[in-house]
Amino acid sequence: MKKSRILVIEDENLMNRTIEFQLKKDGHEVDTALDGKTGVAKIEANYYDLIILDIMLPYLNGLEILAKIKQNPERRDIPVIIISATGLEDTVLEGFKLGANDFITKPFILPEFSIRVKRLLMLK
Amino acid sequence: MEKLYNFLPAFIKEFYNNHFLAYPLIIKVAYVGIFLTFFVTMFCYLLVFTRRVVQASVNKKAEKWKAEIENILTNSIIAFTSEDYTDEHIIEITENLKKLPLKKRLVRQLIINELIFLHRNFSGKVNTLISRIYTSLELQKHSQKKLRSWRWFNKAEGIAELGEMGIQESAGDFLQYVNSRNITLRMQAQSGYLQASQTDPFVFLDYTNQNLLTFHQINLMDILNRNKDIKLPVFSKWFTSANDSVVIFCIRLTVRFHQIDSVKDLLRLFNHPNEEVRKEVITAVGDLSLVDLEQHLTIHFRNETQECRLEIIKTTGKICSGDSLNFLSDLVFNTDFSTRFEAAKALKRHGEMGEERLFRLLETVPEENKSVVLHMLDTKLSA
Repeated sequence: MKKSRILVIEDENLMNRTIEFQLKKDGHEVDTALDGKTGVAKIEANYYDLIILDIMLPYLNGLEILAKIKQNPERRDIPVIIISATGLEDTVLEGFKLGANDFITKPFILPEFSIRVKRLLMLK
Repeated sequence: MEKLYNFLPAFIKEFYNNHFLAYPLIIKVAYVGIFLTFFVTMFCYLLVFTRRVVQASVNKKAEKWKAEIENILTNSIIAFTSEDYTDEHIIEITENLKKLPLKKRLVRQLIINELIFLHRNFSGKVNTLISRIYTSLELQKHSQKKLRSWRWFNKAEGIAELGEMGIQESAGDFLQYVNSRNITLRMQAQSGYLQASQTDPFVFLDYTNQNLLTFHQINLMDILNRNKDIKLPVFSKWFTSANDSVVIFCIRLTVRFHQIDSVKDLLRLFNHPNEEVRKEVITAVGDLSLVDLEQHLTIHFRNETQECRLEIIKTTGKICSGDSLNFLSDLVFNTDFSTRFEAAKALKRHGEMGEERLFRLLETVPEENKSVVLHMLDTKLSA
């Protein structure tokens, strides 16, 4: 079976690595970016089956990246999961309005995160 | 002085004997000034340079150790996310971390920082696993040592670490700082106690005699939102506190955690001497949608201050029971702009029945009050 390609855009190195390890353990192919600019460049250059986005990022924040993805006709169908330390109602609503498929608030449970990723990939 | 003279190089001695001593006093003073400034500047440059070199070397070392620590931690955590970890697993992870030079303060601090980061960002089994690794490595002793430091920021850091890891034995030590004159230390002590004390996490409110700033309250709320295991007391217990900021905070907590049983105690606060407290009670009535208290609010209206009056109007707009339509309609005739504006806004929030009332008011209100009613009925606004 073909491995799913996932992009993780998260500026905290430890967080980024932990998510990467978990996804690799679940059998996915993982690419990472530590800031918004690199993330957008990777999205434009490659095709991913799923994108995991943090909200607070250097250069471009998660919501701005999400808007860019949804404006790109070739990338708009890629499911996006937003991870954020803020569970603020406005941010969550803004994320869903822009087209996010799921929203995870920190702190979160890793196995639950794996299941959410799996579910979105299956729906795709 | 003579000894110092002997140490000087020959050209300086020559300059001193043949020129300097012959100069007038003012020139001598100028020379000394120039020399002193030169040497002090050079010393400062050297100090800055040395500090930068040392810091760069520390950062380089820290980066190396950080990568190694991250490697051990990520591998360990992922290994145990899908299965229950046992004491053997903890020992295994601890042994791996013990291979690092834990005697070095830098390494110890880096491990603490990484553990705290993971503890904040992951919940469930990982969260308890991290706390156990922290205590197995006896890192709490390192954090407790910081509490004895004379520097306030070291104390605050120690409290933050112990609080985040939920070290209950240290919670009592935090209480001495809940009234500190230093705002940050005070805030850290309050939030640290809330996180660390498992038996009575809100006891610090009994001791707080300083103002519980809004920023502190947001911080405490954030901790409560992140830690679902914190034992919640009945917050009305502090409605009689001598510290008004504690009373306000507890009213907010009552609303946040929907402690409806505290309504009777809330009612008593309508007669509180502090306007801010009364305003908070009125807001709470609206947030909790206490329809039964709506009439109580309108009765109190006349005796209230302008700030509280406006809050009462807003609250009737939040409850929207329809019982206050006449009360609000009368206020649209008020001479005070804010009062009639909020009253019209509250009517608008009542939906169809409110709008109908606003249309009727258009025919009766004086010309100068019409603009407010028309503004509320403007369809462009609701769109």
